[in-house]
Amino acid sequence: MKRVNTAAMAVLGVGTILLSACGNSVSNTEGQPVSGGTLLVSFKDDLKTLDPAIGYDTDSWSFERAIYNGLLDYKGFTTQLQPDIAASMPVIATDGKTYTFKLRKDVKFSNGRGVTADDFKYSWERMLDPKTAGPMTGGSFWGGIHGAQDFFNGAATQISGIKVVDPYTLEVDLDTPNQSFLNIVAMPFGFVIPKEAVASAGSDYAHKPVGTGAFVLDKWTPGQLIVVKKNPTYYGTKPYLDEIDAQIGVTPEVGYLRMQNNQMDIPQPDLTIPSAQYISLSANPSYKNRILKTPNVDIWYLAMNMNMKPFDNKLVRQAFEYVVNKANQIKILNGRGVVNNGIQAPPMPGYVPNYNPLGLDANGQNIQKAKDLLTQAGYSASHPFPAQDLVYAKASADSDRLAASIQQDFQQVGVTLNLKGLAFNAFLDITGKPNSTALSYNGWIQDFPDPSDFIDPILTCAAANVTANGGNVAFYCDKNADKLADQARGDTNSAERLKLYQQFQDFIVTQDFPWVPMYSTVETNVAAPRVHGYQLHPVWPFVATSIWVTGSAPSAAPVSASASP
Amino acid sequence: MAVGGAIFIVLLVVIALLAPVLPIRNPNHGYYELLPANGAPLAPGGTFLLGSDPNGRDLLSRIIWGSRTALFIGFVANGLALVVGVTVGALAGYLRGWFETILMRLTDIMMAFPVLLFSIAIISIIERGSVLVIVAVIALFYWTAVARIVRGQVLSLKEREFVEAGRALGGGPQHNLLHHILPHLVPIIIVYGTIGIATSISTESILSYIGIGVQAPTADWGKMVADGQDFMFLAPWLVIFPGLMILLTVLAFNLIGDGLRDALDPRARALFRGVIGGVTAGGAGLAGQRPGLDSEAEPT
Repeated sequence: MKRVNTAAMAVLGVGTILLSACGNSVSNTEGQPVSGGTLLVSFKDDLKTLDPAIGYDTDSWSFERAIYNGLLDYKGFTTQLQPDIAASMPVIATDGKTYTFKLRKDVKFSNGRGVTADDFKYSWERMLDPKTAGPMTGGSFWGGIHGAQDFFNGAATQISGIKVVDPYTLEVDLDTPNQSFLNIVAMPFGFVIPKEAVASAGSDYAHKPVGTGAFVLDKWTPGQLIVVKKNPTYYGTKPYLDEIDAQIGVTPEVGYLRMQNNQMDIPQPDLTIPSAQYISLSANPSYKNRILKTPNVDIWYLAMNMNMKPFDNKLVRQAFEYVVNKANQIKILNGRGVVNNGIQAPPMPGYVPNYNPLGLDANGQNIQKAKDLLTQAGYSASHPFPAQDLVYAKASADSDRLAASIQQDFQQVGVTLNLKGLAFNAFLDITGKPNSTALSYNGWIQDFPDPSDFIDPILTCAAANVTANGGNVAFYCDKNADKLADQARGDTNSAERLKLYQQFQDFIVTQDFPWVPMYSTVETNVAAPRVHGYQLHPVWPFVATSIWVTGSAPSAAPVSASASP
Repeated sequence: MAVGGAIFIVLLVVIALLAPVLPIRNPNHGYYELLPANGAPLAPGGTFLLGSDPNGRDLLSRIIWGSRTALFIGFVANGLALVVGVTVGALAGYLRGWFETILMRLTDIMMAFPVLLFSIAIISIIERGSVLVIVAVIALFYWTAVARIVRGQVLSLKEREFVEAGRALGGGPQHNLLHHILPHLVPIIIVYGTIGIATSISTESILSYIGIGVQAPTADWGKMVADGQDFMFLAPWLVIFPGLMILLTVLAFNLIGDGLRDALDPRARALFRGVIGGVTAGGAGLAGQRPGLDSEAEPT
């Protein structure tokens, strides 16, 4: 999910290569499912939006996934795509550029109207319309649809590459083949919404969503409570739960305390358990076997801005590769992660376990080599390395601890780092602008399970050539690397394609050094004992459709008075 | 009580001064290798006498080095506040007229600001984490109370015979203020100065606690409480020890101030009870309310 604030999403994927710990319990399935009941969850902050064209964070996605559907979805708790509103998987033309989707005829919006191909054309064009001002407007993943660029420039009023062939057939033409296009279609940006609901809600559609999903929004009291109820007209398998109540303004720390007092079912389901709670829950006999774990499919790295001093000097960037003690960071994360010296995360296809082309030690360091390289770069006792600000997003106390451990590592090579922890939005602002931040501590988590997601938005010239809100925070731009990425994106031979992505990784890690890759994390979550069928999804931040509850509902504590408005 | 407070402060000052030569660990170094694999902080006793934080740093060392931060900011900030406050109060009280009006209205304006809110604004604008900026901000707000007390005193002293005698002998304002009035202000300055240190230290702790005071990795009690907060139930020592140090230090300075007031000027006790009580409450409450100051001593 784009750039990450905290360890956020959950991924299981093809196999848990590195994470055999704890029996890899990925579900709390006990007994026979029963229908009915209310699930109580909590979130720290109010949702930003329930408009699928706008939401690009784990909180919003948790609810969008319950309210809406797209053409495709992931099968169960896997990364394999299957038809959802589409009647079958699309027919792809031999040139790899034309996709034809046949739609189911029994899908209805919760307002009662049937879904047709026109609704998809409307929803997608609205999502890409600069007037909507969503994160996809102007291109990003969807920019490769034929005619999209003319639409962005205002040269066309619609996207010629999105064609309604008949009410239940949608054709999409791409400019160039893109092997991850089906994953893109399955993102929440591709969810279908009814035109009339947008027209009647006006600018407030974000709070008055109408979808096709298993649940419908019943009530949203800003800053306090969100209630969704079972959708009686849902075309798919009905969920067990009648209702989900989400209390807003409850920090994860408070949420976990409430859970242990039977006042909460699942605290902050889209984020991993905070350190202190994780340590105490894993020692608590009632909960230690209930903790769910799965790789997060994220990569945490230091980005060195290639256009700014002193990181315009390749020797400096190379020296930095050898400094960070990555094992310390894993310890701060309570062992919930693995050292990662590459740019892909487990278990993404293309990830290489134990990747270590620079010959780092088990901690991910080689201090002497770093010192030598800094000397070669011209720094010495008489000409010390200039103190740098390490800019990071202050998500929790753990962010400060991780930054402090990096600060200590760099002291060893005579480099002073000043810690600059910022609120997430401020962090995105300052690091996304060119020539604004020299050194920053970043996380990237998958949008969809394809290796292109770890390259195209964060390591290509197109992503560096922006004026604001960039994802390529190192502003890395290399023609040869770009060529490799283009080639890989369209390659239909999947084995060859993965090889190209590995070449790309070697290029970054051993030639140009825009990043210091550090680690990938493991998502952990836990639910109260009365919650059954809870599983972590490889892509979605929270899936409620498999959950059923037994026993009496938790006696919800009143929402704290400090809840933000 | 005051003696107890004094002993505590003397010990604290001696330990703080000796910190660099005491056989303790580097307060800013994380001994990650000593932590268990799940990264849980180590309990007191064993490897670390007062335990460690989740970064593997020695809590004892951090508390000792934190006392340097607290005392430095306490003494320097409050010293500055005293110099400004005494100067403003004495000049206003002695010269009177429009000069007094301007200075005292300025004092009123400064007192009307919510201290904490304004500190946050100033620190965010100027520079986060610089010790000098923190000192300046604390001094900026706490000179006002001194200025009011001193002005009240000067107003009354000015009418006394020995000052009039000085004037009659041709002494100018500078001479009279420095040689006749200032010596009589010394007890108040000492008493208020001591209590002001407590206020400055608690303010500094609060600023660091909310994250705009002293920055990492410098050891600071307020910041230690903030850092340890999320581990409060798992590792209570992370907040108890630094919290206790703030409490004891502030209490000790207040007790000493109380004792000094009794010792130096027993007759003034009744007169100043309201004023000093109010100043303390204003500092501790930080709400910008200083109820006791309504009873400010006017010449009778």
